[in-house]
Amino acid sequence: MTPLAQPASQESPEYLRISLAAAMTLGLAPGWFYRGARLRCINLLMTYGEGCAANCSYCGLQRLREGSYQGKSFIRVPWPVVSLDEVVTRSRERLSAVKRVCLSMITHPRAARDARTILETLHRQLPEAPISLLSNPTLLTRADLECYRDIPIDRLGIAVDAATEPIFDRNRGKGVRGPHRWDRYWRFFEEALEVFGPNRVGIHLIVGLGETEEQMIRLIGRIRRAGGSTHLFSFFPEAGSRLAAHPQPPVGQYRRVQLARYLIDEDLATPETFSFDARGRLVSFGAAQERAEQAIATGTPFMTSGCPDETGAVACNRPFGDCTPGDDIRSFPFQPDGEDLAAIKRQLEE
Amino acid sequence: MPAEPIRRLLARARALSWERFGRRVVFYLPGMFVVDGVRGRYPAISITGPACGLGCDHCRGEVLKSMPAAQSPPELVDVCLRLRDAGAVGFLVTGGSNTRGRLPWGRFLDALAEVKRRTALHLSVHCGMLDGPTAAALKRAGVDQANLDIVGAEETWRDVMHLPDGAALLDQSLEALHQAALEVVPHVVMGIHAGRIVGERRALEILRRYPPKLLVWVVLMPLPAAPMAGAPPPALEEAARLLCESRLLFPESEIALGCARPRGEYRRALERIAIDAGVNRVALYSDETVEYARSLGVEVDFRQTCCSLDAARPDPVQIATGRNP
Repeated sequence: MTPLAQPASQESPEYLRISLAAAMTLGLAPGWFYRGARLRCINLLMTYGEGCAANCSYCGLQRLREGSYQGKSFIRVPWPVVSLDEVVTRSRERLSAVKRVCLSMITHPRAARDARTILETLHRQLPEAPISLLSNPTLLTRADLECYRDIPIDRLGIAVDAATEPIFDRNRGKGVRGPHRWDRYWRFFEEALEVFGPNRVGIHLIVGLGETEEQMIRLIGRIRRAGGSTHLFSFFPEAGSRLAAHPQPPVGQYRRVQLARYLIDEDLATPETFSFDARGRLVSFGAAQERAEQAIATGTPFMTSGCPDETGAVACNRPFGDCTPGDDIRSFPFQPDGEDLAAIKRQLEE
Repeated sequence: MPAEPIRRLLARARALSWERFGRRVVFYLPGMFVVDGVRGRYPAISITGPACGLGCDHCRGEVLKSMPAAQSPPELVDVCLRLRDAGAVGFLVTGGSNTRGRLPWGRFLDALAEVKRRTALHLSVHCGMLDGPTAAALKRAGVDQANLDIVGAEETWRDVMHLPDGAALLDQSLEALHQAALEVVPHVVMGIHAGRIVGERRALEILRRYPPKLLVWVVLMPLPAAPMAGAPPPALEEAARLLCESRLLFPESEIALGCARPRGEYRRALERIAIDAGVNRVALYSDETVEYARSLGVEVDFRQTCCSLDAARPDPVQIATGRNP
């Protein structure tokens, strides 16, 4: 067996990779998280011997990175391979802990068809759990979206990741000989809104790939106005990726974007009232300043943004997906405590 | 088989209704609507303010914008006490849904119980989708009635509500309410699918499993800022047939023509048809309709509440104010 080959029997749709946190939730991996964080969403990733055909500079799965696909980390954690049957069986045994299931596609010719098979199986075997698909606009058509919706799945994610077209091109498109195209992603977003309806399509954006706060926040505002919402990540370098040496964004930048995102996505403010300085740094919420201060006090804006459970609380809290456990938590997988809030208030001013 | 002529169908429904419930119509003035200087005394309050995640194509949360908002439990208690002091005789607690069709009841259970304890007024909710424990908790909190929209067609759930598994969620919710013995007041929206009659008869079939004490018909009223704005209401003859068929299917249920429906000429024409079909309650009525009912020898009565409140009970406004409205 060559290092790049994966046994045919361990490919999607029968097999998947599962995030370490989800593996812990299902009792497939031992351990517990720093400060008792718990993931309530089972995050699954498709798996093929050939791996992902895209080459995004910041991603652990990039084609040109050393090593076999199943050995590659993603969002900095290992994703063990597991059978779909096992995921279903273990989820059924832990239904109260499983508030959502999410399937992430990779760029592979069979992914659209196999995603359907996997989603249908998940819905049939786990009808209690709402299902999300982190979709791949490069592979999918509108007809695919309608087919997934009718399974049904209730949420669609689109990982645009980059906040501007040049940053997208440089890190995901022509700049890395990758297949993804900015225009295609946004046309797909419009199609997804038509197929799924408002408030059901989430755009993933990564803070810290070189955009200004103003560019990021205005994009979040446009997404909201169109009927979508934003799931935010703080860039964290993945060892072995092209951006392994790229620094994290300053924590103050991430906090301000988190707060702005919260106000925008909760319909408490629009970016039109915000002001930015010459370098694009957010300096005031304008008319929404009082609401911003009330929001800070709750701590909620600084928690992970992601797909909700049936009650509306975030199910996909991705513990430590964009930071290391310790003092520099970026997206809080739990409610920040008083000490956290004191630090957050200082960071907002940095 | 050709359809039964509409005149004959109306006469049949009317005769059945009058035979069972008497030759009588109660007119309701709900909400805080004011008609001819008379103000409704049954306000609707939104526990999510103007926010709605579900975003159905005929509304997009627009209907919430005109309601008093009570977005935290203490606010709900305050708003209800203030409205009671202004003359309210009960409350319809409503709000936007999340994308699974649910309202945040969990947070508001204690506040609902406090409102009930401190006001002893009638309490109804637009319950949305719910599970068994939530239905039981609403009942325990003192909620008297749960209003729930019954959508019959899967394609309407999918294309209008953007909730593809809405039919299954509705089944679960109806069963949960039934188990909790919380009275359900089903509302069926005629023409919810952009004015077309798609799942209305299927909605009635669903209700046959849980025959209601009262069935409320309302009519598509697309709000101007919503994607469905401009969609026409269903043809009057279609509406007439639905009213009659529901009467014949549910001979033991009262039938109401509710407040949510197009205003203007359509409103008056549909109210007249409703009287012809022998409906038992009409909300947000026009004077012409009252006159028309009287001209047929129908006894009329008036309430300043939601049409879901039982007219056989003593008039809460008289109790609250000690005088006739």
